[in-house]
Amino acid sequence: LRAVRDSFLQFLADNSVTYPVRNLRKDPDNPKLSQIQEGAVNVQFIVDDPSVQVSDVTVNIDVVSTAELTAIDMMRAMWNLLSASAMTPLFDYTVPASPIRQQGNVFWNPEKVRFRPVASDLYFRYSCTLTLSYHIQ
Amino acid sequence: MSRASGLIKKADALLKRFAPPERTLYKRVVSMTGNELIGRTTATYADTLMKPQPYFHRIGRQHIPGGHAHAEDVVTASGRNLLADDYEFLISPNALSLADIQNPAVEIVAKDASGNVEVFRILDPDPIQMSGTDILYIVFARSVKR
Repeated sequence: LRAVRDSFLQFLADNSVTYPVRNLRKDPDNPKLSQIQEGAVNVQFIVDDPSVQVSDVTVNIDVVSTAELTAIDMMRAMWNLLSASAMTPLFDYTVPASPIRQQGNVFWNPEKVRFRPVASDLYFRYSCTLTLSYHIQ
Repeated sequence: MSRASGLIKKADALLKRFAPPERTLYKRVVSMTGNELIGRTTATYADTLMKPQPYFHRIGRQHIPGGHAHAEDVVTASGRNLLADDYEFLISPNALSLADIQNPAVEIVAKDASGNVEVFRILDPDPIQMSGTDILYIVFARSVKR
């Protein structure tokens, strides 16, 4: 499961040249990681559904900007990326500098990439909830 | 000396008299090295003693609407019963500046003589000002690591 998360995050980060990608998560060593960041693509894994056949993990992808028009550009860039492909190879990133290819891939449905605006007084935010599928080896 | 500077000095003197002595508070700056995106990182901490020591207390259930709405009780990995809650700190700008408060890498750390460490994440700073100068900060912070 860790490899699924890492592979998807690296896929987004490697292909999102303009906007930084962050993983929102609880980490007592680094509490700022649970905070949403403006001008960034905020990725949070929210549901795990393991199975002996095809496992799913649901992820929230939030593009956040102070300005609505910038958020539209960010949302479009993310949509371009996620709708242009439907999978990314699975890697073990235990040593990030030399990831090891694993059997299988991480899949998603490019037809299900939809962003909806979420109201906030502080920033403009588009949110996409996407299900990733993989097979546990 | 401006009136605001004089007030800061007086507030600092009061804090020195009333700061709780059982735990010492530090400003902690967290630095991460490695791949932060996927959590393959090493955290390093730089702790600076806060001078003057802030006054702080646990807010408690009476001040949280609906009772203990977001306080959790938990047994820690070391087997201690613990009530995590929000705390209120009264901090001098000499101990923690506005830039520190706005820095997401800055935390407040409490240490006792037995080596116990508790880490607080800054949630909501509320400045007491005079003529645009911050005299004191009322800082609400959450216990995030024991």
